Amino acid sequence: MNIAAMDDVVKRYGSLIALDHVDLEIEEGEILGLLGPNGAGKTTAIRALAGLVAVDSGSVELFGKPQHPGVMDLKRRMGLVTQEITVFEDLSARENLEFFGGLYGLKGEGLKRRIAETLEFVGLTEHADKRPKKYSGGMKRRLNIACALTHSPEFLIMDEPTVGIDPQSRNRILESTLALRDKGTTVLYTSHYMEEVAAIATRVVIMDQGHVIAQGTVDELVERIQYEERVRLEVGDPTQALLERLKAIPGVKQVARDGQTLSIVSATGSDNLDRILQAAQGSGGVRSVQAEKSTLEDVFLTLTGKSLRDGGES
Amino acid sequence: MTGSIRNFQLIVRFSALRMLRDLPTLIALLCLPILIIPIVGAVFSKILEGNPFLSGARDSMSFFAVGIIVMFQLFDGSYTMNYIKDAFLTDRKWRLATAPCGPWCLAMGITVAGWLASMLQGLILVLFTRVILGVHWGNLGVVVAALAAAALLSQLANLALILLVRNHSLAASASWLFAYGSCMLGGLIFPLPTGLPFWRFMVDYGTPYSLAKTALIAAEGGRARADAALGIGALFALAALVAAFVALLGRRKLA
Repeated sequence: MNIAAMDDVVKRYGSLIALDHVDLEIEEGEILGLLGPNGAGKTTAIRALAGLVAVDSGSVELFGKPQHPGVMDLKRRMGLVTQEITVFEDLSARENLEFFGGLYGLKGEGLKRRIAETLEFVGLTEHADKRPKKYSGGMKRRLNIACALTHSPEFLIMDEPTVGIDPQSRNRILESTLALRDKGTTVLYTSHYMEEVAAIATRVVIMDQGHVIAQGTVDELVERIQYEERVRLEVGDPTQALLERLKAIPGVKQVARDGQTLSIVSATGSDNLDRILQAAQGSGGVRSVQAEKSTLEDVFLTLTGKSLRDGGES
Repeated sequence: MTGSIRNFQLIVRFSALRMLRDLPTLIALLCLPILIIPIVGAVFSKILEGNPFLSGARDSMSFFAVGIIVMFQLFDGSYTMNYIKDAFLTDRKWRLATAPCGPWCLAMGITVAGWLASMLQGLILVLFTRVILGVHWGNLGVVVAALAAAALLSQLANLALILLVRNHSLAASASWLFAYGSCMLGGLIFPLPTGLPFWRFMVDYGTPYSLAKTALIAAEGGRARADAALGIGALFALAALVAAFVALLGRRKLA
């Protein structure tokens, strides 16, 4: 069952087309990783799904109902973790949760219970009555997430929730996200950290220039761009004759030497590892062999021509 | 209780809490008038009752107590404007917009919280000037009504300004102009030629400052009682006009 769907959505800001006939589906219980360089249309897609902006054409649905600004029933069932820290610094963590939980209709004992559970979930119970001014960056990020969780949303949008925090807090947030999925929450997760998305996303959607350019599981996406294999070989005596022998192997595209390490690139499916090792016999011994797999980063780079972390040209 | 009313109460409560915790602003809004009133009142103590500049006030201390407190009530709206900006013109707007709470509810909740905080500030200053400086305020009901009317007009005018220009710096400048201009044309900053009918009218009824001041001086017995009703009524009528303007503006700007 789809929790959220965009069908042929177009959104323009003046002459800029932020979303250009975008189709997107988010299935119940999944963590969908949404990737794209700066200006790809991710934020506009998130805002359209959250009912924060109206689209020019196409349809946006949430829980099977049309989503557009002002639909309160749908707002109650979703949560948004903003990229920027949007907690109130002059209210304690408990008061922040009381405010945001209250806006979603929680009250009395139910609200108190959910506040306690949410604080426990993000590991802020001991700091519940402190104001965020005194928090570390990671703690503020966790409170930022907690504010979107108090009302137990069925669908949670997390827009770069780990920007600028320490690895320990990042791991905690990733673990929390997986725990949310285990509890049945559907998550839309955007990040500039490819390894985060690769680690937690059930499925990945890559956007660029307002289009969805690829989607699938990480393995499916990697398979799509696997047109070459890389082998790194360390030998005792990397002679020019060895390089020539390696270059002569069918399917080998490139051989480069860096000290005693040889980098060999060959076409996918050429099954050259055995041949490479045979060719390396008698070259002072093979000290190490490393077959490199393509990563989500390679997929992104190949499809968009850009590095995600910098958002610029690679 | 419906969700909208509950949300409105929640926003008023937490906005008021945030305002009361903003110590630097609170100190400025309370300490500045507490310092200014006795100093200015003492410096101009030779201006005696009956001088046209005092507009009917008993003495310069009473005149400046009324004037400075009203001036601060008119400036208080710009303080609330910061909270409106925070909710509608910063990144926080996305989080608040995701919540099942209409932008109207949010804007009015913050404005009402600002209004209550402003009235509280005004009443503390009235109490201070009564107890420490011996200012005679007269009918407390009229005092509360006049302060409430001036504060409400200021809050709504500032809400209208930020909605109109959607640029905080520009709106803050316009807000300052509204409060300062009102006091200047109402005769607080320097004496105006009140021998001329136009300026007499401006000083007594021509600006929000003049209306509130006239009502408060009437409350202490320095003017006819009708002037109190006229001043307060006119301020509330102006507030209603500005509220109608905000409602029209909000339909486009808060939708």
